[in-house]
Amino acid sequence: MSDVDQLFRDGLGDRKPDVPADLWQRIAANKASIPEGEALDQAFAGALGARQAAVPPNMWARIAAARRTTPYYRYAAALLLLLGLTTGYFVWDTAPTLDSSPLPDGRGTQVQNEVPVAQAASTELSTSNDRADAPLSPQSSSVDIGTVPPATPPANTAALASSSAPPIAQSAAAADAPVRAPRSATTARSVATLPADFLPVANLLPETGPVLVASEGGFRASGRHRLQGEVLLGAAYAHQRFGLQRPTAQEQRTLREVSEFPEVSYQLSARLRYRLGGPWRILTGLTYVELRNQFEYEAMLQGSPRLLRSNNRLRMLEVPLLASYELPGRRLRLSVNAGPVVHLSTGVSGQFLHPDSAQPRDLAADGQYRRSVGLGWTTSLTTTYTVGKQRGIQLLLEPFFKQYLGSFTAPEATLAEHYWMGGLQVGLRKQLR
Amino acid sequence: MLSMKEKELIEGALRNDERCQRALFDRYAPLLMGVCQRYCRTQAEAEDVLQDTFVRLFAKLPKYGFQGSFAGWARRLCVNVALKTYQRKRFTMEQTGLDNTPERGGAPTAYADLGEQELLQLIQQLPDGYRIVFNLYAIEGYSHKEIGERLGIQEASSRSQLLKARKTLQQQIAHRQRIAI
Repeated sequence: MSDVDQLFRDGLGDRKPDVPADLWQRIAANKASIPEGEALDQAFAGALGARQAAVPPNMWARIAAARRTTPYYRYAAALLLLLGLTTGYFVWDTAPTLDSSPLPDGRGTQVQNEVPVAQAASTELSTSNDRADAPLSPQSSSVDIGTVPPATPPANTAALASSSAPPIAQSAAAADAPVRAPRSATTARSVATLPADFLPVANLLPETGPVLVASEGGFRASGRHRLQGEVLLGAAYAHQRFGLQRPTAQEQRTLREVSEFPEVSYQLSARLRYRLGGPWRILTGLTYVELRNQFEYEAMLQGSPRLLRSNNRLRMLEVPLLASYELPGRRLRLSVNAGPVVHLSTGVSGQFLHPDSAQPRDLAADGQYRRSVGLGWTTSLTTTYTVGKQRGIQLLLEPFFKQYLGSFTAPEATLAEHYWMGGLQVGLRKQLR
Repeated sequence: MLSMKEKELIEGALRNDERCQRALFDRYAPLLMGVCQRYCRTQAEAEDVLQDTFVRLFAKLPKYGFQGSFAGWARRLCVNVALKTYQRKRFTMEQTGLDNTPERGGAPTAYADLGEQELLQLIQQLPDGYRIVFNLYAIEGYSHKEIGERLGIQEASSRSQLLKARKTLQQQIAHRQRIAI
């Protein structure tokens, strides 16, 4: 053992340091055994079961903001339903009216649903081809009611028997066996695909005059009536989204998010529509858009807090350039449109909250909005319904979606402000020349 | 039994009277925040759940029908929202591969001195599955069968999660106690 060891042993070996006076109490308190099983559950349930906690001061504003945005899901669902129904209608409407599969003997095409020939012949045979521009062919042409007399009246039967065409009565007598008639009311109006010796409609066709003239290059394809004018008015939901252009603007973004809520925005359009070849059209014009938000904040008035509301507006003029594809139809038609939109920010009005200011600030003066040209894109689905016999006017129903690509604020602004909008327009279209 | 004032508030909220809705919020938000904090690990998560709870509460208020305690109805709604949030989060974690192992820690405290805040902290530090089952069984009073149905797990899994939750809580309390002494 060295001297150093000896030194420490002598100095500290029998040392009795002071014991803290409350040490026993501390040990006794902590000796309480930790509960197990149900007792542990009870301990936690007793302490936390009815516990109330502090609620953050801005929680009500957050809930109010979240509740305001909820109903728009309903509008979106309604819009989707409308789109689905419209698309469904067109799919159904453009489906083939007759089964065109050939008969086993190859004489013609087969028509479904068997009915006696006399009944089939006496059925109203008016053509479903009331459009002048639908192409006709010997296999698929229909017969006008004026050209085919009913088979049952004896006078008509006799008249037909004396004509050069094979008489219907003869065919009917020969074919006592049932002929297949179209299934639906629409298809019942056409007998175009019956075999020639079942019902001699095909033989009658060359004598039916104007109905049998193929309309290739008809009225609408003749190069006239290419230009149409449209006026539309629409309501829309404009979704406002803030982005940080400075990392320190987090608080400002939160303030604006909880104090600005979307209102119904609207737009008014005047467009020209020019028919290109085939189903393609081109659309352009001028659109006035007003994006609207409700601004809410609590102010102390006469010693009590009052909720004040006002409107923020962002007004623009836009020039769309859209390509349009028109699906075939009769009075009711569907067009899918898409293309870029050039917009000019023409003005902004309203107020906003800023963390450095007790009072709301003016959007136009302090919002740092830019006034330069911007770009966006839009897509829409136009449903048109032709009105009247002249067919010069069409009613329009157009759900649309539009997104603005850039921020509406200047690059030096602390917050970027982006929008997309979705809505529904109604309007009128008229032939111009 | 509803007091007259409470009934008037609910009827006002049903008429979309914003003052009544605000009064209902002021009255029940602290209680529901307490529930949210037990089911969520962080304050931010709890606030999100509380927000969703009130959005759903006002949307579903017509279904309340003045049957039973409004506080109990609101509390069940809050638990449902918390469970849905947990299930969404669990799915996200599975997708992203994040684990839900809690952070260990907390100030050393003897069991006898554990207050509400410390107990809440202990619950919040439990892994998600343990925390949800412990809350549902020990504090809300659901049976293992009900928990299994709500979470889409076996009854046995619920029992096992509860036992593990209790064991973890005991270990954490013991750990804190050792440090404290």
